[in-house]
Amino acid sequence: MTGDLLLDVASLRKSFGGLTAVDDVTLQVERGSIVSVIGPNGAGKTTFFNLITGIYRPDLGTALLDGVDLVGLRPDQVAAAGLARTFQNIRLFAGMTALENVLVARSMHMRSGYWGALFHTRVYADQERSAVADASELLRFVGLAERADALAGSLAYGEQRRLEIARALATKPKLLLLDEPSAGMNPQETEDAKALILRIRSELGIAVVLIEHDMRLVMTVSDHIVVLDYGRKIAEGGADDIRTHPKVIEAYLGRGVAARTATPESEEAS
Amino acid sequence: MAPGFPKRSVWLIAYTLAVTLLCVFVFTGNGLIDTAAFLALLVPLFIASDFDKCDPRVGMPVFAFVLLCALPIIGMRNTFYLDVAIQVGIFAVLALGLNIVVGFAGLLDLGFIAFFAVGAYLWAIVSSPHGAALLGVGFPLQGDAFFVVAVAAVFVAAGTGALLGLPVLRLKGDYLAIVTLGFGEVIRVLANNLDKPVNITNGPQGIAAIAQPLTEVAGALATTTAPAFKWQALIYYAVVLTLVLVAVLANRRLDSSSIGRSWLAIREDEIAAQAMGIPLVRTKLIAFATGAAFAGTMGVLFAAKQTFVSPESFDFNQSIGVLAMIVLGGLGSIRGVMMGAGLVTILNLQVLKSLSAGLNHLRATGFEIFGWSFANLPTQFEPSKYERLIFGLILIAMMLYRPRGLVPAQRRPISAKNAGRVS
Ligand SMILES: Nc1ncnc2c1ncn2[C@@H]1O[C@H](COP(=O)(O)OP(=O)(O)O)[C@@H](O)[C@H]1O
Ligand SMILES: [Mg+2]
Repeated sequence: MTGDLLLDVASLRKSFGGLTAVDDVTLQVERGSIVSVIGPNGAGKTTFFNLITGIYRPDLGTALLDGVDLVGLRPDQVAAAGLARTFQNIRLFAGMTALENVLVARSMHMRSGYWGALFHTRVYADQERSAVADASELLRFVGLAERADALAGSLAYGEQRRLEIARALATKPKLLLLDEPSAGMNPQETEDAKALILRIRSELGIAVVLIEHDMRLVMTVSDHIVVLDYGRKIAEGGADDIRTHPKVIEAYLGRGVAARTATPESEEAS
Repeated sequence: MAPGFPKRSVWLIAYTLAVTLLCVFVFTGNGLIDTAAFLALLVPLFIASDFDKCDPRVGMPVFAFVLLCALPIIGMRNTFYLDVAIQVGIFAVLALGLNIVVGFAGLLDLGFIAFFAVGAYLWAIVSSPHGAALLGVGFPLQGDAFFVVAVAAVFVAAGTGALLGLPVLRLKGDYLAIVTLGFGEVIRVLANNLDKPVNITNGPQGIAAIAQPLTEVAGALATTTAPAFKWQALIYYAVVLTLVLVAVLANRRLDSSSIGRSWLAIREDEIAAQAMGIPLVRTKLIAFATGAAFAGTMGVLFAAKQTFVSPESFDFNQSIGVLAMIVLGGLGSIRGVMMGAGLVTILNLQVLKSLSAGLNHLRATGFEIFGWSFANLPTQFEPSKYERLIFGLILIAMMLYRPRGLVPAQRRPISAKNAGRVS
């Protein structure tokens, strides 16, 4: 891979007891690109996200974000380094309003916190105002401007997914990790999610790594696709390479189907 | 009637004035009916502070009238009521402090009273003859050093909170509760046993003859009808009122700030909060230290007011008592917490005691009802002994019917206009 490297993960490995959930996975993301990670359930995709965001510590391997080593950092330090994420099983702050959810993710960029709040300093008030303005803008960006004061827990499912994205964007990331953003969505919502992902790149200039099961979505937005199966990377490449890759077909459809549709063994595109 | 001045306001004002007059001129004693009248006087406080239902232009003056006129007048006639108000104030601030830890940050702290003890012993040691023997030249401090020490206690207690919090706050949920319980007991046991090798706390006997602030003012104001001790009580009332105000303000401002949102986020989902860039231990530590600071300051006041401290005042039951207040009132809800503190304290200090006194009176006079004489009532039967039982029942009922408390916490919409301006 050439170009401007943003995320460089090499030989990442993690075992849970006897199970190797992520096995020697290497992945590179260029600035401004959209990369998808696909694979059957239990392939280790979410674990991979958890490893680079500091929720689990990898047994082996390195992860560099813009030259900063992420391994060993706490999740909040990873966020500060410029890596934000959403969760497969939505983890919003259900008892807080949508706007507050986004504001929470802004706190690390707010310097005058405690004493400023107690004594209501000018700096504090200005900062609070501009944070609210930014957060409102982000809600507008994901199409939730009208729902700003609704409790996050009371939002519709699709709205919650979008709110999670707005919240992650509020940390001002260089790279955004989305874990199954279209899960549970109807076709129209999926279409909106796709548009949103493309706008995150085009309007905000933020690169995206996407875990996704909806193949139409994956194939249309991704610059690059990585396929995991049983923790190992079995293939990577562009949409066309992946669609016809025998190992991918095998992983998704089982060995029998793969044999029938087999094309001459192609090189792992990279 | 002017527009925007609804009938409800008229009723509120009329009610407040009527009850005040009754309390000042008719029900001036400590009996059951007098207690009921006093409680009736506190109802407007609750209504007037609900700005959703009550116009602040009416609510604020009513609120100020009850606290600044009615209560002091009633209290100067019968200082028992001032004492009750002061106790309510002390516990209200304790509850507000614990509310930050448990209500906002969601950290179950079962040893909160330890920080109250730290403040109390701080003032006890620096201002008593016992402390003078320990600290030497320059001690004991004069009563008016109270205000300096009260401010110092903010930092001493916050420091203690941070010190205890550092090892503890890595734990979660039940573990945290158990360890804070242990730490709370450790502080009490220390107070109990630090009379040797060097006598710091004077052990179980406690420390007596603690200095009081502004005694010369109380002395100067004394007349035959209003002796110095009444003025002293009024001074404490004023100090407590100020501290309650500061505590409420601090609670509200923190609640609506970025640190307050971080606490809530941690309470709601630690993993998500951390992934959004919130440093867990640091944020929790700030909550712990802030709560401790509230308690420490009130400890100083408590020691001064009682002029005596001993380890007994800081046992586990007290921690549970404060916790009960905030659970009853509504975790995270400032108005609720204040109300919980008021209800529980008054129930303890006043309602149950006057119920006991009333029953004793009926027993002594052999009052008969439907042919059954109160003289038959066993002498062991005393409502004030059943404080914990009644409490338990109230809490169980609350958990069943209003699990979020009497005044559940609510998130208020933030607009770009009011951002950073909540006071
Ligand atoms: N904390 C954990 N402890 C034990 N096993 C885990 C843990 N997290 C994930 N796993 C296992 O690792 C494998 C990969 O899981 P996951 O990363 O969630 O898969 P995917 O997101 O690709 O569906 C699964 O077999 C799962 O059971
Ligand atoms: Mg997953």
